[in-house]
Amino acid sequence: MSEETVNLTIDGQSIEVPAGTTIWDAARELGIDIPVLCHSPRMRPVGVCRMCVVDVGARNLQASCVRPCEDGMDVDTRSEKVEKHRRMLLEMLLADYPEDSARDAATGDDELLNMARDYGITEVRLRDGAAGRPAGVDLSSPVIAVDHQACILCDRCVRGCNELQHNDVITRSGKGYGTRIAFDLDTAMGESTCVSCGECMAVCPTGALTNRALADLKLEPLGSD
Amino acid sequence: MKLLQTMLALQEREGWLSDETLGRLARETGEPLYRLEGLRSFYPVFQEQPGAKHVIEVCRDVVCRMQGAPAFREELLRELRDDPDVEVREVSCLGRCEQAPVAVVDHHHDASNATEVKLALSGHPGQNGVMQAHDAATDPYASAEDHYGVFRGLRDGDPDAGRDSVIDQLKASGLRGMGGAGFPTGMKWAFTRGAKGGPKQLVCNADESEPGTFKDRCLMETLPHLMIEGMIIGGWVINAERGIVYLRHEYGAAADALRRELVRAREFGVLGPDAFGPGKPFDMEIFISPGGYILGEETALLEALEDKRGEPRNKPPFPTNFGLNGLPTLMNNVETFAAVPMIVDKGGDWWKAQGVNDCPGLKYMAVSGDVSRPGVYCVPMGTTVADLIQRAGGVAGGEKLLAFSPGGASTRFLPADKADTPLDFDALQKAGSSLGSGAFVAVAEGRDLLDLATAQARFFRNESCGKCVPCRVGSNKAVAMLEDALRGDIEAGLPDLLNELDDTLAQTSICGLGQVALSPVTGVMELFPEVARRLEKREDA
Amino acid sequence: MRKIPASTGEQRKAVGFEGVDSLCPYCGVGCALTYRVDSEHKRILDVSGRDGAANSGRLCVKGRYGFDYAMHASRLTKPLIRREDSYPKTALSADVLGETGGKRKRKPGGKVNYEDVSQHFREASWDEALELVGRRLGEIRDTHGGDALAGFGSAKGSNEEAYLFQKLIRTGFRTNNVDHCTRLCHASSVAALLEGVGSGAVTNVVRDIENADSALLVGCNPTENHPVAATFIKEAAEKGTKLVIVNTRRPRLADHAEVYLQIHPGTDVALFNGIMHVLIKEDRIDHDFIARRTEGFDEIRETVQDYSPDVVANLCGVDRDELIKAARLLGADQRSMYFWGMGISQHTHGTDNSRCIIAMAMITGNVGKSGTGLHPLRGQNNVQGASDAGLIPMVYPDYQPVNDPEIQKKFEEYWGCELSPTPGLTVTEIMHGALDGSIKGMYVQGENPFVSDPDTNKVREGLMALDFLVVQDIFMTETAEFADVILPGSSFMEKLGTYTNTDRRVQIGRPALALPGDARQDLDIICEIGRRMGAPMEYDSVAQVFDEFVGCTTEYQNLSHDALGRNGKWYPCHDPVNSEGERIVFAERFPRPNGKALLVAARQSPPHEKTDTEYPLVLNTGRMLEHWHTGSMTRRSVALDTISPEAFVELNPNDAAQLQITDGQIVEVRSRRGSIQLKAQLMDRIAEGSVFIPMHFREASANVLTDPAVDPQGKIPSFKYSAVSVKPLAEPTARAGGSN
Repeated sequence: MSEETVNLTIDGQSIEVPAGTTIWDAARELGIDIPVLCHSPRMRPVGVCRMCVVDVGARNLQASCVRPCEDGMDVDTRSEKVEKHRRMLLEMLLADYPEDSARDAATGDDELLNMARDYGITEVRLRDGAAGRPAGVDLSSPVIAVDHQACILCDRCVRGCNELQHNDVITRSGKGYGTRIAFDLDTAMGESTCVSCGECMAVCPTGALTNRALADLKLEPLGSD
Repeated sequence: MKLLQTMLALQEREGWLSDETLGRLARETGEPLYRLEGLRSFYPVFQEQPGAKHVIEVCRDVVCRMQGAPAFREELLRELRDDPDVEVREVSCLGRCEQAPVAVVDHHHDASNATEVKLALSGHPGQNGVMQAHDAATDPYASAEDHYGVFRGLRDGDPDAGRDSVIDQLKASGLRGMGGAGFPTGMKWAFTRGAKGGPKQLVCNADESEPGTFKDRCLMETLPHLMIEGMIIGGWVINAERGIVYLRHEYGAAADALRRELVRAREFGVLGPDAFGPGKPFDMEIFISPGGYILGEETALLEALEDKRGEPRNKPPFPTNFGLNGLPTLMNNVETFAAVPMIVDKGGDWWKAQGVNDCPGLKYMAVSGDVSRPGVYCVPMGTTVADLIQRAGGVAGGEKLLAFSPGGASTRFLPADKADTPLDFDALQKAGSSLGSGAFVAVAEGRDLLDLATAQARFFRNESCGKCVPCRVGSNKAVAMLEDALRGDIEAGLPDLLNELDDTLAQTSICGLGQVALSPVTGVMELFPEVARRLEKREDA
Repeated sequence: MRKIPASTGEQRKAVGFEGVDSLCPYCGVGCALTYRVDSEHKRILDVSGRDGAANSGRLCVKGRYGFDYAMHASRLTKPLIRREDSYPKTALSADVLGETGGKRKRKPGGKVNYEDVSQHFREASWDEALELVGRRLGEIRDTHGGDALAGFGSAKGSNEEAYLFQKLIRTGFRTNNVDHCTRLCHASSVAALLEGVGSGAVTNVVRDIENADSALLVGCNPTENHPVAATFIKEAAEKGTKLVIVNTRRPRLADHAEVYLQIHPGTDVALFNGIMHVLIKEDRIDHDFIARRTEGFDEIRETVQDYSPDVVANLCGVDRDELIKAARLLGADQRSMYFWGMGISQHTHGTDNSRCIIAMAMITGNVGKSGTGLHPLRGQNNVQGASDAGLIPMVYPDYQPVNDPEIQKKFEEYWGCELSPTPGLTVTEIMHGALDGSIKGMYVQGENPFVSDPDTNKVREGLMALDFLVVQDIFMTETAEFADVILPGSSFMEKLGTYTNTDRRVQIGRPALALPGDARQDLDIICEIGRRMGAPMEYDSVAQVFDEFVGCTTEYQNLSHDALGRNGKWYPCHDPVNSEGERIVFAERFPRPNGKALLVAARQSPPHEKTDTEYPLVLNTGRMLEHWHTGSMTRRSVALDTISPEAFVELNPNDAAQLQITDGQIVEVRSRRGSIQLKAQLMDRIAEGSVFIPMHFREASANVLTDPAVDPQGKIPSFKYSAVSVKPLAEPTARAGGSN
């Protein structure tokens, strides 16, 4: 029994993939990395950050991490239109992002800030929602620092905790703009049923869930005094 | 369904959902705590704190705002300030816009002024009037004994031919989804019937929650047998064994009417173990929504039925193929189902011919705002806006019409000079707006359109589920800037920024809510130049 | 307006963070991981999961945060020789001395107090220390014979180390007295597996549970002890695999189970016989498989006749219908996997327990195909490999019996020297030997019997009685306090070697850190001692040691460091170029002479130690998520020690109420062998009549209490069943700790 396949074009390159393959995965096979913050190949895609939107010629853009390829699709992953909206999405996230990201400071792998840098975003026109860190910080876990202000609700920790590790601790709590991540019945992380496997911290793309031990290390770049 | 229903029962019994209550529920059900927290914090019905004895919920949305809701609320707060047993809450549209401004006392009693509120609090609730639709012309039955005759006729005939014929008639009728999206109903039924897998699921979306919309409430309260028969026919066509009515929790009277009607339908034998013939069961149940406008989005609704946070799914796949619990699901709006018996009885061509100006069928419009007789009007599709306003008694107070929103919070305000536009999906789209869910709001001259458009955007911000970035963050940033602008604090480049935000929300949001959240604002900016000018930062400012 | 700070990423790259692909040093799951190394400052910064066969990037708290012990300031960095004036030997630190009512105030935390201990040792050069070790051990061998010596190798070391260690003991010490902590964990399981199946290894990998209809998990607590394996078990349960869980102490996995049976301690055999009774009575057995692949079924049928559901339900304290439901979930129409842990093996009837599990799998035809199989969950990261490499007194590498003359001859030729034909002594027997004087000298590499072996007070006497003890470790362990010479070895993070996980996956661990001070590679130290005892061992590389080990096995054939590559292989592996090795073995035949599995019937037997009015409770000991064995590693990890800093005893709230004990109160737990003081934790998950104490905390060491009686076949101690009493203490006495 041969698997059903579909043919499509991504950025001018043709590809045949099994039916059901997402555009994001198909693009990756072609060596095209579509920017994304919420998706990780280890996880079920959820399509919430919308950074991976692409133009398939539909009424609106499609999140490539969740959009299955269709026969005859002509996908544009880098058009001006697409990039314009990605920049606006980044501005939205950055508007509420703290000035200092623990991940950026410790290991330089803050995916949001690095993506902003890739897009050459130096200023955000939307109003600052991060001053004073209104979303709060939770240092109750001895190993993981939680900076709710740096959380972009990508759901990676939620999936890491519940779907990869099956430890069943982290959820989205609240609704709308007030949504945040929470542990158990919204208790402090250190008082929750968290078993400190660190998966949430490992998959977090931002400064929201970081390794406390690294924050304590003084990691000076070479050549600095 | 079961978990949310259990939580609803606990909320009802205890008045709130404490950590202890949820901890106990987790132990009893084996559900992890995080899941209960996700639900408790998402649905507005669930309270995390013990509330006051009495709760007064005052609508804050556009129609009530026009009719003085802010002052009404201030008055209640002032007068009840000293009563520790009373809590006054602001809530999103309650679906009682014909009574605007409106408050609901203790989840049961409607009140439009402080006297009525106090009466309700003192245990002497006034009569909650049942609103009749004007000119209702979609009931094929002369008398109640004949109810469900259309379905019984189908059941007695050849099943395959009958099912084919229903879909043919629906296609011929030109009936489109009346919840707002306007998807052709015959096609949807055909898709679901033909979808692989089963058992097929049937859901009625009775979560009408868009500001200005109350026609489904009226249909359920006064003509419940039509919607229920429409669902039965739908269930029979796709071969489902159960149907679920997803009803917003604020519609207590509708829930009562439906429950009574379900009993009747069982008596008629069109629900129950032999509903579809001997040994072929079909039954229906009512699921009371734990709240939130977003649940009207069909996939969010399905998530709620699956006991999850009601966040819209990414589409495709669509519910016709992958709906409730991943099964093919037929979901229609109340009004859509309610039209089915008439269409099947009289034929698709008959229905189609009921419209005017080359538009098909009949339409229930909820008319509110600045009209003399707000209410629900059943009109031929294609009736002009001016005609509809006339039916509703004209612009209130004899004022001149400034603008109108033809279909609900998501539909752009059109200027008065478009009042000759026929009420129809295509015509309104051409005019720059849309028919939406049929929530017509008239705006008289003298109103501040920027304030009203901002109120619409604020509604969407308030009701955003928060799942995707553009809607969650973009709606918040835009509303904050608009509120500042209304106070005279205008940022440089605001119009451009609002248009860019609107564009990104429309292009990248997961669901319709985010896609249209800023549309009312950019709409007035585009069609009402004086509004746009007010958002320009003045050099002398 | 918000500004975005300029990139620090480029600067970060310049710091020289380097990723070292290696393994987790803790449990038998064998998670692949990458150490992020700050080469400038010679330290590991953090750990990320790697796409290993066993973990797919997942890690647990120990793997993620427990690496820092290797960088701990108390690492041993110089060889140490006991000072002349510190003889006669005694223990040195307060907790190890076991004083009663001592004056010293117990320090918080639970590491050996270096101040107490260091003054009794002097630093020495490697030459001096090694010369002394070679001379003293050589003298004992030459005076009293090789059998007066013994060695404890380590299941935490590499295959190469295990192989060379046993080779040293056999060729240099001239004795088969070599054993390791497998004796304390799965020796009885291995005994039953070797007897019944012909191989001690698992027949299928953990993750194949995704293909199983059902799984029996008995006497194991994977969320604590095999956390990453547990994630795959939970995943399977979520996707429909029905879990049958049997445990006296309710594990978290029970939340995901279809059936959970909280049996009375020590009634496993009755339960299994009851399940087989139902399977046979309801004809849910695989007649074809029984006929073609097994022998001994008649005896099983005969035996289990007496174990009707009613009898068993009463004996085990479980619901009759639940028992029947469990049996039906394990019928021949289901693909079932069988997982078990120390709750099965650490009993005086541990071998019988495993025999029954093997029989259940066999009579339902559930071995040798996908979604089925026998899987004793291995504890240490290399307990499988260390056993494979011959750290067992009765067998050479690959389980080849030392008392088979042909095999003895083969190894005499392979190693070029004469070998003893007498099977050696086991861990517990060696300790007895030390006590009765028949064992006079010992080499302990990377084990800590003072804390890990049963009946601490006896172990103390044994260690004190030795003429000469050399301990090779990375920290000053409790056992090292009794040493004449202490040799500073290498931690996992400093060495290259192969490790075989619970799935038979052979994987390479790579060095991420440099050795601290003058510490040396364990492999080099073994070779140096060999050279000084007339058993020269010269190797150019670690890979060469592996090749020599592979050369005397059949199971590891075709494997080499090169072939193992980045992600390792399962053994057996017939074609390492094109294959990952065998996930599932014994599809056609079992490695017994006639190719058939031997079914061995067992009857419920009473526990060795009985509860009575004085000692009315049953003590169960075990591990907990954040700690590892004797705590020498995990209690030196900042994160792990912070999360879980102190000892506790779990009590059922009803028992506690009767004993007038409240949560958090300090209590005294006493057995016929000693007593300890520690905090009470009231937990519903522990059955009435039972208490649980984790084994990791030296200051309240569970093994002060444990019964040293062993299983007759596996010689494994009965860690899971000792009679104890618990009483509340108003105030903790000056020091909570072990006492006589």
